[in-house]
Amino acid sequence: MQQYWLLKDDLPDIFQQFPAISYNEEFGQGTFRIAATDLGKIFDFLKTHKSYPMDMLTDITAVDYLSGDYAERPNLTGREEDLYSESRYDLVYHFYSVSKNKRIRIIASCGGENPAVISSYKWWQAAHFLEREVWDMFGIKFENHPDLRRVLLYEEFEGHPLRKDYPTMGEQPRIPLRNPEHDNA
Amino acid sequence: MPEYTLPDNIITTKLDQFIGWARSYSLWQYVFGTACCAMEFMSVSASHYDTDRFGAAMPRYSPRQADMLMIVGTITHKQAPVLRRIWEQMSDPKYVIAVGACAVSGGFYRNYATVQGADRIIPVDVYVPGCPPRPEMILDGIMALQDKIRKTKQVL
Ligand code: SF4
Repeated sequence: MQQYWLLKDDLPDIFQQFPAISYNEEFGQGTFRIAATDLGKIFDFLKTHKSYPMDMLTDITAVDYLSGDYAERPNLTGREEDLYSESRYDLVYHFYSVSKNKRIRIIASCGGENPAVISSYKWWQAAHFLEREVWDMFGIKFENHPDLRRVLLYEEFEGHPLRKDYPTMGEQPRIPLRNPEHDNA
Repeated sequence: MPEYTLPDNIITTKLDQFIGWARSYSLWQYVFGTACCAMEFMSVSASHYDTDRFGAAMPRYSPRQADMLMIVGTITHKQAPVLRRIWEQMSDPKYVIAVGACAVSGGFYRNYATVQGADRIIPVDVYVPGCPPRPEMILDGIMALQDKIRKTKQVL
């Protein structure tokens, strides 16, 4: 079976350039975890890689680990002081090399009071909407993004609904709602 | 002229019932199809199930020409002002059918995005449950609305 995912042995040079990188492998898919400050450098590295140039950005998304139910974040337990933890969110990037038919997954943690990382728009223009969506849902800012607005929700919406501290049923109606049981027209 | 002298081909009725009969068979619909239920609705209005039989075969894509609003699919808070405005643009008499669990009550969506039933925005005449409803159920909903129109007092 052909291996679509880039594994540890395919990229020896990534470990030389980024000594702090960590790697794990599940179900035949490799995951490279780096520091958020290294993101700009790794975008350069992947886009101009000699054997596997990553010319396509397939997806950016994020995970909120606030609630403490996850083995990946034993230090987070959903307490108030964890809200601004530096490792609260994971940003997940998926890249695809069209010419080599290979994929790679990069994960970087971020957090703090105003979570922000560098935008990948300069390298891949597909990042425009993907980063707007992550901003919309998780409130992670992307620096140097040309037009970081909400993309799915409306402008008046307050907060970011996929954060674990957003109320599960927190609706924000744009017009006054009727109460059908009491005022039937 | 006394009634018993009328010829056989003349029928007498009440004005309300006559207008109700006419209105119930000339439902021009505006289809507000927003989600998967709209797929089901396409098969209802196509020839196999055929809403034409009930005088409801004329989808108008301008709310000003329609008198039956069919809400077919999930209504989000982002869309709510649009739906409200479409309903306000329709001229009287106007009727509303909510098709599918989402339009009836929000369905299985209970989150930041979904309005918990179209009747939180506009008054609804007939509710058709199901996810999605069978075509027969939508036809049944149209017949229930016709029944309702025939039995109500007609506002002129
Ligand atoms: S009721 Fe079911 S089929 Fe209809 S719009 Fe909602 S989810 Fe889709």
